[in-house]
Amino acid sequence: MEQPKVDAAAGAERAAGVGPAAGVGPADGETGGLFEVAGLRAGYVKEIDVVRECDVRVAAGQLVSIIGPNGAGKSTLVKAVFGLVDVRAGTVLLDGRDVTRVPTHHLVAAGIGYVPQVANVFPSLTTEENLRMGCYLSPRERATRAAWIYDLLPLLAERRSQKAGTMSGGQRQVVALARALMGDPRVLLLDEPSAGLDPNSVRMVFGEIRRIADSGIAVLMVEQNARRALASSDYAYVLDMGQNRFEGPGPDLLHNDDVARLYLGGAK
Amino acid sequence: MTGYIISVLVSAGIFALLAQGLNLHWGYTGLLNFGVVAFFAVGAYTMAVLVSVFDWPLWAAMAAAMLAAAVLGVLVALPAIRLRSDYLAITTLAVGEICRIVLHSSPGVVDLTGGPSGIRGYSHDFFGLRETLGLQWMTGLEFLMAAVWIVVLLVLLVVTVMIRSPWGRVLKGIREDEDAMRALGKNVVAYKMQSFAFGAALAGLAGVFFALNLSSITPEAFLPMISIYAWVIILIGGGGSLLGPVVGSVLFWALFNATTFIPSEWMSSQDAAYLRLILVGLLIMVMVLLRPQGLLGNRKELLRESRH
Amino acid sequence: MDEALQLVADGVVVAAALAVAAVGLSLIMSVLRMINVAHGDLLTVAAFAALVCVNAGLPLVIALIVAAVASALIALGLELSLWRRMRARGGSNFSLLLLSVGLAYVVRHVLFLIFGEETHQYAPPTRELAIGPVYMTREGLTVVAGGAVCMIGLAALLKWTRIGTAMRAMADNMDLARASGVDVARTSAITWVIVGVLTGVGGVLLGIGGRIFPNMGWNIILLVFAAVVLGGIGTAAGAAVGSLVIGVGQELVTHSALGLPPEMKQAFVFLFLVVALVIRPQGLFGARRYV
Repeated sequence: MEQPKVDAAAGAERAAGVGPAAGVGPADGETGGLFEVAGLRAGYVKEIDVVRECDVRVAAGQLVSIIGPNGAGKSTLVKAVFGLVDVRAGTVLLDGRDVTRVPTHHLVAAGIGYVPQVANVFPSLTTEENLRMGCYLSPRERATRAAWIYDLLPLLAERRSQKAGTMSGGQRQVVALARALMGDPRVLLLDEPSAGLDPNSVRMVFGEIRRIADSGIAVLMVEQNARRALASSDYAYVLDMGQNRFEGPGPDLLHNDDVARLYLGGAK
Repeated sequence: MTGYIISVLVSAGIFALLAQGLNLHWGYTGLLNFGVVAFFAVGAYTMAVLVSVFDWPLWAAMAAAMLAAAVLGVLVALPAIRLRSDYLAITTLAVGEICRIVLHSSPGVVDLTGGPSGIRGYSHDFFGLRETLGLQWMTGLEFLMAAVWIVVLLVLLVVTVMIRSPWGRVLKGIREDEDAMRALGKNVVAYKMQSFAFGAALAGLAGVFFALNLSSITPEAFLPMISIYAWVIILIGGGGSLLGPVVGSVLFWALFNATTFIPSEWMSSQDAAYLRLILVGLLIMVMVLLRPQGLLGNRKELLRESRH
Repeated sequence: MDEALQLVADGVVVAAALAVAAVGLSLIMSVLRMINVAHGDLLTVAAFAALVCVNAGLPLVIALIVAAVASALIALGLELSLWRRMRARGGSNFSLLLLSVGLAYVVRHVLFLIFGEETHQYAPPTRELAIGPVYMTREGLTVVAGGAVCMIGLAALLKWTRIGTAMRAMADNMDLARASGVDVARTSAITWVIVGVLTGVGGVLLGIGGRIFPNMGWNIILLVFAAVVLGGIGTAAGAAVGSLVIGVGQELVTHSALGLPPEMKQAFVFLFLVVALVIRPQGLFGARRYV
C-alpha cells in the first residue's frame, strides 16, 4: 500500500540557528544521519503488533515529533526503540550501528536517553540526586554535566536540593529532561512531555526542549499536543494505526490540509 | 492403620470447613486473609463458653458461634478491604494474634475463657447424641468424624447453590473484573463483605468441631499456624474451586499425619513433629513455585502481578 | 515516675534491636516491594550462628562478624535461588509473601530440630549499672550502641553512596531506575547483602539483649512489621522512630498504674498496627507511596 506522503523538500525553510543537519528533511545516512528506525514492528501482546511498519530518522540538533491519534502506536514506538516493548521486526540504528533489541541499560550507555510520559522523576530524591541518577553509569562526568545542565536550564539551579515530588508538573518535567540529559545522550526520546501540563508550563517545557535540541542533541518527541509540537519541530511524522501516514518539516505539516483535516481537528 | 485414617478424616473434615471459609475469602473475592484462625477461635470459644458456662443447648451455641465469627468478619473486613493484598495479609495475621492474646490474658475475658488453663466440659451434649440416635456402636471419634463429614457435604451443597445463584455470579464477576461490576451498579463492597462474613461463619463452624475434637481448648491451640495450614490446603486444592478445599484438606492431613509412621528408633516424636512442620513449609514453597493454581484450581492469575 | 523512666530505658533497649531488625525488613519492602515473613527467622539463624561461635570459645565480636557474614551469604543465596526466579516469572507481591511464609516454617523448624527448645545466652548477664535514675545492664548498653551504629551507618549509606542512591531510586521508581542504567538485578542482590548484614547484627543484638531460642525471631516479626509501618517504609530514620515508639510504648503499657497483665502488651501493639495500617497504609511518618 502506498502511503500518501508530503514532499519532504517542499518546505525547506527552517528555523534559524538550528544545528547543521537540521531542517534538511529527514537526516540522511551520509550527512551525519544519527538515529534511524526502519520497518519497525512491535507490540505488547502476542500476535498483535501495535507498531506495524515505522520509519523515523533524526539528526543531531534536530527536534523531530511524532504525532497521531490516540492508539496510533506513538508511545509504543518510542518504548520499543528503548527496549521496553518487544521488537518483532525492523532495525534501530545509532550512527549506523545496529542497536535493535539491545538491553535498555546498554542503550543508555550507547547514548540514548528516554523520558517516559509519567513517573519520569524520582519523587523522593532531590534535583541533585535525580541528576546523579541521570549519569549513574559515568559518575566521574557528573560535576561537569551537572554544571552544563544548570547553565542550560537555570530554573533547576535554584532547586538543587528540593525533592522532585514537591515540585509543580512543569518543573518536574524539566527535572525529567535534565535527568535524561545527564546521561550525555546523543539521542533523547521524549514520551508526551506536555501531558497533563497547563498552557504556561507547556510553553516553558517546549522552550526548554527546543533549547536542548539546539545544543546539538537529536530529540525525538511523541506528542498529543500536535499543533504546538509541529510548530516547534524541525521535522515531523504522522503515525496512524502503527504506520507512517505523512511526514515533512513541522510547519509544513501544520499547514497541510490533509493533516489538518485528519489529525489536527479540522482544516485551517 | 484405622486409627490413622480416622484421625486424618476428622482433621481433614474440620479443616475442609475452615479452608472452605478461606476459599470464600480468597478464591471468590481475592481478599487475602492470613488470620482465619481468629474466626476459628471465636467460633470454638463462643460455643464452649455458651455451653459450659451458660448451659446453652449445643445447636443454639453452634449458631451463635457462626454468628459471632461472621460479626468479627464484618468488623475486620470493613476497614481492611481497601488495603493492598500483602498488607491485608499482615493485618489479618495481627488480628489472629490479638484474638489469641485477648483469650489468653485480657482482664474480663479470662473470667469466661479460663485464660491459659482453658475451658472444658462443653462436649457432653454432642457425644450424648450418640445414645439419642442409637449409634452407641460408634466410638466418640468415629461419631465426630461422621458428623463433621455430613456437615462438610452440607456446606459443599450450600456453597455450590450460593455460588451458582445470582449472588454467586456477581461474586465471580467481581473476581474477574471489579470495575465492570461496579459499572453495572453492583455494590462491590457489600458483596465482598457478605462473602467475607459467610466465609468467617464457616471458619467459626470449623472452630466448633475443632473444639469438640479436643476435651479442652486453650488459647495456645489457636496459633497462626492454623491459618497457615488452611492456606496450604487452599494451595494444594486450588483457590476458587469448590472441591479444592475438601481434596486439599484430605491430602494435607494424610501427609501431615504420616509422620506418625516414622519409627521412634529413627526419630523422637518431638523431632518428627518438627520434621512435619518443615514439610509444611516446603509444601508451601513447592506449591507457590510449581503450581500456584493448585491441583484443581484455575486461578493462576491470582498469584500474578495485578496491573494498576 | 521512676517506674516510667525505667520502662522507657527498657523500651529503648528493645527498640535498638528492633530498629536494626525493622530497617532490614523495610529496605526489602521498599526496594523490592516484598514482605519477607521469614525475616524474623533469619534473625534467629544469625543469633544461633553467633551462639555456635561463642560456644566454640570465640569472643562475641568475632561471633558477631561471623553471624553477619553468614547472614549476608544466606540472604544473597536466597535472592539468587528463590526471589529472583519468582520475580522473573511475574510473581505477585502475595506469592512472594507466601513463599516467604513457607521459608519461615522451614528455617524455624530446622533450628528446632538442631537446637531443641531450650533457651540460650551468650554469657550470663552482668550486674545492672545505675545511670541517673535508671538501671541498665552492660548488655543493654551494648545493644543500644550497636543499634545506633547500624542505623547511622545505614542512613549514611543510603544518603551518600552511589549504591544507596540507586536503592532509593529503585524504591521510588523501578522502571525509571532501570532506564537510568541501574542494573536492577545487581542492585537487588547488593540490597539483600546489606539487609543480610543488618539481619546478622540485629539477630545477635536481640540475643545479647535477651535470650536465644528458635522462636525468638518469629515472635517479634509482627512487632518489627508494626515498627516499619509506623515509621514509614524505606528509611533508616523511619525504622528508628517506629521502633522507638513500639519499643517504649509496649513497655509503658505495662506500667503498674494501668494494671494490665504484661502479656497484653503485644496485643496493644498489634491493635495499633491494624489501626495504623487501616488509617495510613503508607506509615504514620512515611510519604504517600504505598496505598
